[in-house]
Amino acid sequence: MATSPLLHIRDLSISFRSGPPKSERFLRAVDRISLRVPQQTSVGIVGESGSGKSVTALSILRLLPEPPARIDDGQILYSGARGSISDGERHALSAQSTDLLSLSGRELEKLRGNRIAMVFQEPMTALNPVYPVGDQVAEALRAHRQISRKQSMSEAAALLDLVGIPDASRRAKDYPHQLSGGQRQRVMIAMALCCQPDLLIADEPTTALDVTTQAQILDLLGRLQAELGMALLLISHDLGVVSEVCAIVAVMYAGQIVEQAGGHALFRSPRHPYTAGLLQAVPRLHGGRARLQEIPGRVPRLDEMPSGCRFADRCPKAAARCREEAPTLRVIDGDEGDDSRAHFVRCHFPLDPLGSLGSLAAQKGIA
Amino acid sequence: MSQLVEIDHLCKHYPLGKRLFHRSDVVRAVEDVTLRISAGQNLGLVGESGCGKSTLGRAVLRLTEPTSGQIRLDGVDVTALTGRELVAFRRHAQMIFQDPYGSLNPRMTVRQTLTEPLRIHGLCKDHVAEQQRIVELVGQVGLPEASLDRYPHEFSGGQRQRIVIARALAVDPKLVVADEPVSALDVSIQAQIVNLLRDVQEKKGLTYLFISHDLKVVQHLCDQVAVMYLGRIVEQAATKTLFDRPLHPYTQALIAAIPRPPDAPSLADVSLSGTMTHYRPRALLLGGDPPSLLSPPTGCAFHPRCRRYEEAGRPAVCRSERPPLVQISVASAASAPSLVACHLQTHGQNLGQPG
Repeated sequence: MATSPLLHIRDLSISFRSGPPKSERFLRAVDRISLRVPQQTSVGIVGESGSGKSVTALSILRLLPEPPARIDDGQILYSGARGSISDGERHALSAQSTDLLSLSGRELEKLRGNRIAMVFQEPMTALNPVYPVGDQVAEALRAHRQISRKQSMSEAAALLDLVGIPDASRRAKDYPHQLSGGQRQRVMIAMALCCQPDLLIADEPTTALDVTTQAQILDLLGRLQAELGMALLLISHDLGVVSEVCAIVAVMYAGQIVEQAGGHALFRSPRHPYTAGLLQAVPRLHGGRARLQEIPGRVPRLDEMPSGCRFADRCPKAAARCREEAPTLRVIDGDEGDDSRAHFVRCHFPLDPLGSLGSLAAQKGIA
Repeated sequence: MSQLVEIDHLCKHYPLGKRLFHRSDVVRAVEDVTLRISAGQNLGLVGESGCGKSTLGRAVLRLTEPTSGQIRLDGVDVTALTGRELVAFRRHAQMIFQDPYGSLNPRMTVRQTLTEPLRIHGLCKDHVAEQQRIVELVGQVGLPEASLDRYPHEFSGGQRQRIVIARALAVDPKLVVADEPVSALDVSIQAQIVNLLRDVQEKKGLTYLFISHDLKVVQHLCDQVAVMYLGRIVEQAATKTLFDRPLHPYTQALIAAIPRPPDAPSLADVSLSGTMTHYRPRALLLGGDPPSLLSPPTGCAFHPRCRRYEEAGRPAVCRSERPPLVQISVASAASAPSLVACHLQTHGQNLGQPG
């Protein structure tokens, strides 16, 4: 599969302005991230708060407020529409691939919600409380396509039905507060699907939801992705959530990708001590009551990033070299060109495949 | 095994929109809950949001007034306490809240935060003893002594939760109600706090009423689990029993909803359309949302979402009669009895195939 990826983030760096005017400085929140989202594939980014995962996601559609954010470097290449191209974006996408970072505001408008759509964490604040949800979906439809009000309303109802809202044409008249959290998130997803996007970015779509509702939403995202053949970029702090849906998973720590692999390989056999640590920090079902493995300490602050490996201070395997020399992200398994098979890791001393930590994890019943 | 907490027929109702000449609606947040917690046996309370688990936890400490029912802590009737007695009672029962940002006073240093409970309950006879105790407390929760004169905003979320735990421990309580204490924290920090809660328990011999929607953490920390749905307890059992063999269909759905990584690269990895995904349809997915507490379904409150009810051919009893919480297994020395409120479980044979 050597086709060009749908989205290719290349060496992206983002800083935030900090401190009072005049003596301000820029702190780097995302440090030379590279990530490919192949066509019709689900890719996940996992990381704790402050790892830069949401900043990366927001930067794709240029939704970061600039300032204080500043994109220092890099490219976000987007390679055209799959299948039929609808009216709006033809001129923006005439070239083979477009660098989203070089587009004007107007060109970006054509892409946002149209070819690339986004779902956010908090469905209550993302919906307008004074309009019925059906109207809001219909409005999104009319914003992108030349259709009548009446037609947009019936299509909105169809979309609400697609995302599993029962009795959709009637619920379309409900206001956001009349819907449960899970249903509001479904409405958000319906809005995102308005123009059959090539890529859906979901930033912590289930964090505010109950376990049961979370399962429903994940199920929905998985089903839609498979049925509509779109690509999905899922951002979450929860390894379990990401592993359930994504074919490729990248783990971020302190602004960098520290490990990336096929979802299955990553969870079966994590090679970076941080990923392994994260997996062991979560209690497992039927895992007994042995003490949880903690990751000591906490994520380094942006203004005191170590010059060596950023995880070294918390790493059980850190050696002198780790503190002196920053490791690079390299392939340790598989073919670099094939993301679903390749295993990348940013570590001088990666764990053995299914080695001590890996097999321990397997014994404890990760999978 | 002595019973530390005995809750009998506890109800908490919230009247809605009082209007003249109209009977006001009532939200039955907690309805007829009877629960026992043995000393040293952590009880986990799980359920979806809005099921009444937090209300129940708060009612146990009388942070909200129960509408009816009785709570006894160590044999003392908590519901009858007033004024000074109530203050004194709180020495024995403390709370840890979910949000360590909201539950600490931003204008008090850690030292002040920890001194307050000691003074209220007159636990230290002089200033020296007080300071000693405070140093001991921060040590117990793994904070450096230097943090005593700092303010909450100077700490990270995990550290703040440590301060909250230290404050709860200051009075040497017998019972700690922990309401989602790790939900707001990052994964790597969660493990630290869960371990801390466990260490503290081993050292102090206290008991947790642990409220959480995270079944994995509950399973890890608790000896007993009670599952709530729409204000009522629908199943209660020893942790291992509950997770190995959940009886109530709702419990089964809750456990099935826990995200878990794929077992092996399945055929679904590459589907017919060439779409790359790990998506596998789930067997026991719970449909719909919990119904409104204002108009709970008749009979078994769970029946509109219940898969087993459908499979059993929609027996009328599920719609008409509320299933009582009945004992399924006999209590043994090792574990308390299992209780479940489900018609299909209690007299499944008469109703068709219970599954």
